[in-house]
Amino acid sequence: MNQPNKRLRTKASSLGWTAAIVLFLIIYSVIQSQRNQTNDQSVLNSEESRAQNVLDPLKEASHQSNTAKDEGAQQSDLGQQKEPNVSKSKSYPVASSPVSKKQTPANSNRPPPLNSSQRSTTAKTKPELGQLRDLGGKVWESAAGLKYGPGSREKHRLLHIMRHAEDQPNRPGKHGVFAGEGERKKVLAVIDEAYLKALKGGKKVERKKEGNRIVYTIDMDRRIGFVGGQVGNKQGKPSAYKIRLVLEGTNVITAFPL
Amino acid sequence: MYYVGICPFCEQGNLGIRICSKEGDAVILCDECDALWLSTDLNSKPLFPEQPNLPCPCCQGNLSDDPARWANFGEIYIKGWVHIVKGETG
Ligand SMILES: [Zn+2]
Repeated sequence: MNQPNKRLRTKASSLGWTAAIVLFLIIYSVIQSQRNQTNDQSVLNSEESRAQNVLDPLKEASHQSNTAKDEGAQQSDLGQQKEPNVSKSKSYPVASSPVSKKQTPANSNRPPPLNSSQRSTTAKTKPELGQLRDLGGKVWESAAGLKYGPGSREKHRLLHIMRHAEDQPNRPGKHGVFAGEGERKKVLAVIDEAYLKALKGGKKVERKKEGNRIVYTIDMDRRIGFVGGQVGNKQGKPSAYKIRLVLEGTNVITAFPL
Repeated sequence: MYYVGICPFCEQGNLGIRICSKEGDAVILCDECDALWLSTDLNSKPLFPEQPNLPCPCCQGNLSDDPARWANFGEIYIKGWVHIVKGETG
């Protein structure tokens, strides 16, 4: 009688073990799938927020990559530049980054490798003030968003502005002259800086609007050039601390120190 | 260029007498900011012709392209504006 009972106990015990193992496997697989879902969601969330952060620098990156090419073109189109900017523009690390060489395995728990647009957030992407990019139609846009296009007796606003890179001692009245040794990039950089300050407003900014024209007079709080022309030369070329910007929207009509 | 004053709008440009490209109309134009006056009353508000061609406000021509030009003394005399000329720019 003991033999069949023992067999029955052994059978029941092995069934119990089997059920326990099956139950364990089910619980394990459920937990595992939940964990995977959580991971996927967090990766998605981080991708989303990264995309938001990347948006502006990405624009800037494309801006800069154009700039290097464009400034070269501009040298020939509007060649009044004493010192080329091309090499400086090319120094922007937009396409290549050391980060791209360290790829992580696809199945690891590490975050996925950054794609090229995401990598740009890790690179230095801010365009320098005074840099230009070609918008087509002979219109160039500065880093601050000012546009320089055809116009004036010089046939282009960049050439018109560069009249203020050097003195015209015989010009009647005053002739504002930008500091910067006649270097276009320096002139455009200070104009960009003034424009950004004008947009912020404040006590140092005067704004006059007439029709589609806006005239900003911005106190730059430092010497940004001198007053030349007949009047300035009679006065001993006094330092200029202000810039006047004459704009139509973001289109530059003229800009000069005063 | 014969100039007739300093631009009251931008306070920097020299005001010259510009002859338009088509009918030879004469206007006063700032060489710095393109502010424009149809008469010698420079206290009146200027016009701002459309960039970049500066269409002539009096005809279908413009103030930008050839044969638009700064007026010579004869053209200023005919227009009757000699009395407002202050001098000639370098
Ligand atoms: Zn003016």
